[in-house]
Amino acid sequence: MKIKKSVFFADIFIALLAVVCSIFSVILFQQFHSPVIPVILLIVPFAGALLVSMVASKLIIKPLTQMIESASKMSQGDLSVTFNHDSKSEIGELGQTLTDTVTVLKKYISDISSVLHTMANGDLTAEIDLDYEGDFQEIKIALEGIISMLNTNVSALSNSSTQVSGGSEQVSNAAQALAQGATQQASSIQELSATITEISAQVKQNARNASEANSSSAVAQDKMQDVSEEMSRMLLAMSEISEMSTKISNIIKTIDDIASQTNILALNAAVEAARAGAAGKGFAVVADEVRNLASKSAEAARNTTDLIENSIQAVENGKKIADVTAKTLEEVIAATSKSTQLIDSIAQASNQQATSIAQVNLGVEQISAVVQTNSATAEESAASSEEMSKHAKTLKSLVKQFTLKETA
Amino acid sequence: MEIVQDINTVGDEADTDEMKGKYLTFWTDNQLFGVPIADVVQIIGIQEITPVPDSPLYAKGVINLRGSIIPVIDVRLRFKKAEEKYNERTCIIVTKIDESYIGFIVDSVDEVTTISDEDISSPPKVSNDHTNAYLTGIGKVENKVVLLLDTSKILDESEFELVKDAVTGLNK
Repeated sequence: MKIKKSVFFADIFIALLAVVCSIFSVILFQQFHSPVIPVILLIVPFAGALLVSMVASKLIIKPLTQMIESASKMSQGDLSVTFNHDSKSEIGELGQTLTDTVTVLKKYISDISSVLHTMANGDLTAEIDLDYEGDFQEIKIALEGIISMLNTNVSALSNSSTQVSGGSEQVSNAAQALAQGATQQASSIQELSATITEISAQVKQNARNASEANSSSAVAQDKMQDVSEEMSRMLLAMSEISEMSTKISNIIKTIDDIASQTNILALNAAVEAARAGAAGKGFAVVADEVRNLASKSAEAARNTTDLIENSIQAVENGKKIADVTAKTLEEVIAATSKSTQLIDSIAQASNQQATSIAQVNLGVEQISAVVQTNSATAEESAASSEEMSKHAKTLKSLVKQFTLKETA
Repeated sequence: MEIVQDINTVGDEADTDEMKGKYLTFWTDNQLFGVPIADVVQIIGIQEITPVPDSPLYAKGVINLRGSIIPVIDVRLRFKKAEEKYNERTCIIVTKIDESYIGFIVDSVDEVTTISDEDISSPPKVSNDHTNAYLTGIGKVENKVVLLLDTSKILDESEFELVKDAVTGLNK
């Protein structure tokens, strides 16, 4: 206001001065007919104007310049500037306003700074009590929004981290249990493997025994074939003996026949001799001798027949024994053949067993590999969950640094 | 035929002394029998017998002895013993009874032996045994017992006639 007035008065003064000077200059000019004083007088308003402008500039421009400087400093972040506000002029007003502005700004900035500091220290319970006016309200809203969002998120984070912590503990436990289980499986598999090796060895032994038994029984069979052949030969010899005995028997029978016929003849002769009486005595003697011979023949034949019968009987007995032996032999051969078959099936079964055991072994190895993988995975899992647990703890401890607003 | 005739002549002449006490012994059913030599014509081994129809059981049939048809009697069956199969020892004793020839089938012949009267005892009187009718005595040879038979009494009259007729029929 002041400046305006001043300028107004200055203008009037200068105008008056100009007018006065002009008049004077005219007057003077008319009087003196010298241009010097009019000129000087004409210069006076100019000088006066100049003086006024110089004064004005001093009054206006200097403070303005100061203010520009201060404002410039302010724009660069220095809020400690002051504005000259002692004069009552518009510039003074400007200075005051600017100072007020700076104060307000400083206030807001300080408030925001303090709130932000509080938040930086983890205290999310910070509140903005100050009223922010005008466009500054945006900041307050935004800041409050940030605080609330941070509260919500950090709280959620806290929950999540608790859950993660709990979850990772569970996983850790489970992984440990799994690892233990895998270890037990591994030891069980070891035992199983050992048992299978034993069984395998036994099966191999079985197969070997069966093979040996087979070769033994093959040898036995050969021997029995030999015995059988010998028996056949013996039977043949015996039947030859029988044949011979029968032939001899027949011959003996013939002899016996002849003897008996001779006997009859001799008897007839004796009858005739008896009839002949004395004349036939000699004949009777001859007939008697013939009879004797016939009877001796008959007796010899009888003895031989007895011997032959004994021989035939002996052959029969021998044949019976041979038959029984042959039968027994057949039974033995059949039994041996059967046992050979059984042994063969045992050998086959053993082979199949061996194959099956190999497969089982393979399977067990596969299981073992899987168990080992499981074990490793379980350990990895345990390690991972340990890490996760650590991270969760870290998270929790980080989260703890924040103090949260009480939720209603 | 000739041999038979010769024997006849010889038999008639020497009948009295030399042939007395001489018996032909034979076995039938494990019993030793004896017949007088005088009756014996010939001893032959068993041969094929031709059966004659309508004959008694013991009349086995006839045989052909050098052209003559001679009836044969099974002594076992005649004496009501069990019949036995004929074997190589079975003989036919051809006898002459009243101009007729009859053959007796016996199990086997033993020998021609002399049995003195001292060794002969009279037969026991047992009524049921059929053997009795023809037994002339019981003889002793060494330590054997011989049942001495009357050749002509082995068959009684009617039976004898029967057999003779049958043969005669055949001979025609």
